Amino acid sequence: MDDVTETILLALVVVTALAFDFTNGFHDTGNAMATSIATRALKPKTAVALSAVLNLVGAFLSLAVAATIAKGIVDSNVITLEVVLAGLVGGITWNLLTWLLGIPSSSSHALIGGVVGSVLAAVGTSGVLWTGVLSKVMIPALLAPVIAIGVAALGTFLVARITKDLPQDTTSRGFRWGQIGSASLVSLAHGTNDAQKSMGIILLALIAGGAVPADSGVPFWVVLACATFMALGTYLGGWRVIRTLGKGLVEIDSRQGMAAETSSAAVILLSSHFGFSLSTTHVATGSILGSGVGMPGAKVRWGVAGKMLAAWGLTLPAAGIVGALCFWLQDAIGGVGGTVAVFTVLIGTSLAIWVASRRKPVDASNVNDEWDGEGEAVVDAAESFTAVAVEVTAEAEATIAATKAAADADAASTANAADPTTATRREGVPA
Amino acid sequence: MSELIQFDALLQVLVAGALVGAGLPALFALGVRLLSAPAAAATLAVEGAPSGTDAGPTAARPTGLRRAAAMLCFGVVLAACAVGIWFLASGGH
Repeated sequence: MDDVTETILLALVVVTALAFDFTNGFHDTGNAMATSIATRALKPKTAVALSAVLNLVGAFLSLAVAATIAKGIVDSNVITLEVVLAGLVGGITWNLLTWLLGIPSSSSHALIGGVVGSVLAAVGTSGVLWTGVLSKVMIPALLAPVIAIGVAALGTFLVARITKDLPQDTTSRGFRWGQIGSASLVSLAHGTNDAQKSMGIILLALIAGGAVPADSGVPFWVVLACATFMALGTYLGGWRVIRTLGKGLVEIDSRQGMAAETSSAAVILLSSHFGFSLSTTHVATGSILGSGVGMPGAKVRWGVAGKMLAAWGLTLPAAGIVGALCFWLQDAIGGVGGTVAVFTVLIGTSLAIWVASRRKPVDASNVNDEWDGEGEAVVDAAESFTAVAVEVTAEAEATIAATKAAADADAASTANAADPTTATRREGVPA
Repeated sequence: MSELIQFDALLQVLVAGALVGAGLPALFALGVRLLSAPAAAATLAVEGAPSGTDAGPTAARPTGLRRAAAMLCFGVVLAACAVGIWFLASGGH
């Protein structure tokens, strides 16, 4: 029985890690491709396809996996499969919510937040290394955009100055190529860095579950699965985030796009080289802002930027709360039932957010429409957030009540807990 | 405070980031400029790129030399990209 429980838990962690990998892909497409789409250097579908291929290639490029998640941020001894599962659900939920609102936010910070939350729920404050949280997450989140704004502003200013008296049509053709090249490098770096995070989680889960020996490398199917899910996510295109990055912050031309993407690629690669890792999302967003700051006469929508910064500040606590709630739910029900309940909450929440996104869909056809400031997801963030929160809360309450009922009913025979619970869950999920 | 912020690493990222992240776009812009019609463009010294300020207009250079200088600019940019990919592939992140 214990073996079965462990196997089901392991399988669900692997599936959830791949789901996180998938959201990571579509959430971050905009980091590389938003500017190329906004300046029409690439057609929207071509841009996401190119980015998907490069993410796929990037995932295979290097396998120097750190088999620890949230290293130096939580005590690695307290990481169990249950903690990882709850943390992943926290990360995915925050990724989906910020996608709905069209806010670029760091996928890795969301994951760290979820794990920190579930560790807090599992063992309390002693499991979290707060200095690590500050120095590896909070402070870099503040510094990354500042550095990127500075570098991109300087680059844009120089480029604008050098090409000042050239006719725009002759420059834009050249700069589009430069833009596509630099954006490709950002995509490649994303595939290499971020796909490895999911690989690391799955490897960790496999080791913890005893499926592979402790000194095992990453099995090939894990590399293939992570690379594929990230590429699929990227190809789906997080159009809502792409729209905010490409149109919402700055009206961008191909010179600014080239300067911004080069700044992103340079700062991302150099920061990891110097051991001062910065989030791809924060750097990319800062670079796009910087390309507006450095361009004489360009208008920067600081209001939109401020909302993003607020969301970045919320990432850790928000993902953490979801992670903690999931851990408690899992722990309260216990066993397979608890794991399945958490997984079901994840599916329900994802569906609710997807349904909410259909109210004002953003896709390849309208991603480049004029930014009117009214009715944009980011601008109406508070309103949209409330709507989703109401939906998700109702959903979660229903799930918890139903799960408890099912668990009570099956209290006599725990062996049968999984099946009735699953059945109840499916009915509880809104179409 | 210094245990929360690694100031030396931060400084390195800032300086190298400014050199590479702003210098390469400037070089690329210079290449584009050198390749466009000489009438529109006053030539700039190649070394003038990073500072980018007024290297005043001089007599238009021969096309061959301009082309060579432009290729040099693009070559440096391409080489930097290659270094970036090599860095990724070598797992240096």
